[in-house]
Amino acid sequence: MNRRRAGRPALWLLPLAFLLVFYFYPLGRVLALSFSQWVSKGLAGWNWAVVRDAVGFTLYQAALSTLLTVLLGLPAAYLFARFQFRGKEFLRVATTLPFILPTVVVAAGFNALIGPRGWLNLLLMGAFHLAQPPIAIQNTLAAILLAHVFYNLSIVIRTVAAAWEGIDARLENAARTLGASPFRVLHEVTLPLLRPAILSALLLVFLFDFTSFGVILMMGGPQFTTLEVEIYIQTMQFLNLPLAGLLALIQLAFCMLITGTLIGTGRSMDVPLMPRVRQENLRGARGFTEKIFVVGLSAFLIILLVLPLLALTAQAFFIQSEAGGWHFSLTFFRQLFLNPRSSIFYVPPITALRNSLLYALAASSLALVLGMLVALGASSNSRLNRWLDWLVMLPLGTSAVTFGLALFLAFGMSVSAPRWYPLLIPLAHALIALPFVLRLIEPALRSIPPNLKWAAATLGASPRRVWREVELPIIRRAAATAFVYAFAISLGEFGATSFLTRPDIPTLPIAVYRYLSLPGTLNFGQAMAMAVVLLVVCAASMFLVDRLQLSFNIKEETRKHA
Amino acid sequence: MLEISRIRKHYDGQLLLDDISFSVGESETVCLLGPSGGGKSTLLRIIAGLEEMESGRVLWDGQDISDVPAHSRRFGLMFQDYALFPHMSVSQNIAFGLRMQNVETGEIQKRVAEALELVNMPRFGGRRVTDLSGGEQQRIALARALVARPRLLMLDEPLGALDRALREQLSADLWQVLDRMDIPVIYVTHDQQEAFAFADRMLILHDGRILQSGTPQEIYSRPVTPWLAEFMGHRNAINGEVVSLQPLQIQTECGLLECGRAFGQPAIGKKVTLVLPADAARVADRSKNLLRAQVCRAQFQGAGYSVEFRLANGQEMAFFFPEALPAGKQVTLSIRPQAILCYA
Repeated sequence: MNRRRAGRPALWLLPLAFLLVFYFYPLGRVLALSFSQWVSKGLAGWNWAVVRDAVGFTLYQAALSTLLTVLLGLPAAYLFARFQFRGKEFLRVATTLPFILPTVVVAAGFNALIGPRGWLNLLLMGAFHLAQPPIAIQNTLAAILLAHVFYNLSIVIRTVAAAWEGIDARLENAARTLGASPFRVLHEVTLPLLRPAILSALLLVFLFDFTSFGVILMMGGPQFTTLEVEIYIQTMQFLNLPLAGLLALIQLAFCMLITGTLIGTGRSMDVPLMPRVRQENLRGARGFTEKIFVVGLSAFLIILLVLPLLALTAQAFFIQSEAGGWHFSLTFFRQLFLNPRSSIFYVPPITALRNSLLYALAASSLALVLGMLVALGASSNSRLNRWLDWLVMLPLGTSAVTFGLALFLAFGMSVSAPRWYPLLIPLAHALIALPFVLRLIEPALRSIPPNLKWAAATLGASPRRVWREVELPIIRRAAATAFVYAFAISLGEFGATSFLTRPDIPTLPIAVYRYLSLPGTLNFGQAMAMAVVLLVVCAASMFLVDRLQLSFNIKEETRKHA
Repeated sequence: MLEISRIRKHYDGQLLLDDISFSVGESETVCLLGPSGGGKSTLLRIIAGLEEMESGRVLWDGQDISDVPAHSRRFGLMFQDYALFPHMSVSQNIAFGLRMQNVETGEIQKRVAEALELVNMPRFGGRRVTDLSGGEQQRIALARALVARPRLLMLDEPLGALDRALREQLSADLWQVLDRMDIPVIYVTHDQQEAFAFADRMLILHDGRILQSGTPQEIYSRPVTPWLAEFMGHRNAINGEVVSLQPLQIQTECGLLECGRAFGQPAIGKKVTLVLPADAARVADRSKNLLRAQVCRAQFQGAGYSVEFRLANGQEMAFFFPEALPAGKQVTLSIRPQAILCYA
């Protein structure tokens, strides 16, 4: 009898084995470590003050960041969903970029703008002949919040704008003709319709703020430690692995709770890649208030989103001469190829780029293969498949640092480990990228009407040929998008990598972080130069994804077959 | 040729196909007619090997092919939404089945060109299928199904997705193409006019069973149940009681009606349903089988008029007349006894 409808559960075996070895086993090690400590020392043996402070600050900063992001994101989403204005395309790209930017680039960008050596301080020092930088925002809560807003604004804009665009402007017009004031239209028509999107954006932003690591580490300084940073410090500085493990478990519980809420309430974990707003709902700004709103908000968004990146680029290309003037120079980039005796690595910094590219290539290939296998295996809707599908999404609810610690504990502790454990980096990156890959490939595969596959079969195509000639070509673009996405994620990954990296095989984000934390103009400049390289590669990936999104989608709607 | 034996299938816990058996002869066109959602498409997919059945067999030339996978059966199936591959051109779509049969390239080109010629779209080969209109897609889907020279062609509502004007035009084209093909065809539709146009033989699928099988004329004039009579377009039904068996006479609220053969077992005093076909009435030209009625309105239908009447009991009926009757007029209708369908 024909078994095509039974799905292809055998395809699960490889991804499942992979998850078992590189996800569940390492997490199990974290659990075991903390548990053994518990047994030997009991509840009193822990430094509860550290735990309390970390949890408290993590929640506090995440809540504050989320609130700020949403408050700014909602008007911005409105701007995108309803208005047509000059420079919109540029702004669209500008709001898209941060989402995929590595944390180190964001940190470097704000450093270049408002840090002690940042343009703003240089400008003020020059203008008022000051000896010290007047703005000391670096290492304050404000810096953290700023970076988080920069980072997550695009999530709110894209999620909410996509939903807002889906609301027919005629609904709002109908409410107006029925006598509702603009405020009441917003209150009684628009916001209720947007609520699911806003809530899902809220939860997602909170999750990202909660698990933020690089931003806090680089912009908050030593006095601000979230759970993520505390795990890192306890592991790397104090080698207090049981405490790190406990913190990781607490972190895991929180993340699972948030992710579970997201998935459990049926909210989407996906951020629409690019809202392309239907034309009929768009209009130009009318009247003075609207013009002020459009011009003011778009200017503010550009300043917030573009200025740090411009500042970063300028810091990398301009160098201050002895006389005090600035001139264009490629010195910092040239330095990347040298390996001076005083270097913090044993290799020229540029090898970090090569390492990062190789890791990213391996990680994205692996993530794509695993994602394809899972998506194909999940193509039937049995209970087992739904359960397995959920299992694969778990890495999304695991913070990068927790995951890094887990892998470090599981594979990085033995004497011989340092020789091969950098190989764990692409594996870790692949697992981190896997949920994103799946969320791109699965819908594409599901969007293929069964009739297409059936038509191919009745025309003589075996299941294998149906896959090769029909399914694969149709999901090709989704797969390419997923690949580029995974590539960019791997390229910028910092949290997990920081546990697994070896001094002589640095990745680009690690190198930027190391150089940023060192004193000296040359180190700062080199950090900027590397961040620019990272920025360019990520921006190029994003551009590629955008082009791929212009692809066709299958117009035929899936009909019900009875 | 094709023989279907005792197929059963549940869908969402409901019995969708209950013991379906029929056969299709050489170059015969069988129309499978039934209401939407009645399992017709599922039955096609089972025959094609795309879906599993719970029990039953599919035989070809006496051989059981129930275990032969879909891609080895060489049964062509054309879907209602055409299922053209969106990532391939028109030519590539048509060539797909030939490539699967490993036909050589030159031969493929020749046969694709012939197929395009057959459906009157010779210059469409390089087009994207997504740029085609509904009618063009339908013809390409037909060409794609036929070019692989299937042993059996199954069409699932081939005209269902088209608007009415296009449907009538393409219906004629489709008939020509099918007439030229010398293969058995199973044609699925929920539209009786379409079935009348194409069928050598009609099968009525209702409640998971084959209710009646026969030529279009047989089924139209002698539908075996009141439901089928209504499905065939007979709208005039009236209840009554049997008062005489030889001849069969029924007392209704509006008069005594004599009819020919009855379905079921009539007995004196038994309640029956009479269905009066639209073409069974004349303005009184006999002395029996009379119905008193008042003309409500006459609706012009081109070849004649559909005249609506109100009977003495307030019930409304419509009959077909070549001329209009003035609204409000009281008339006496006489009904042809042999045309009356009596369901006991």
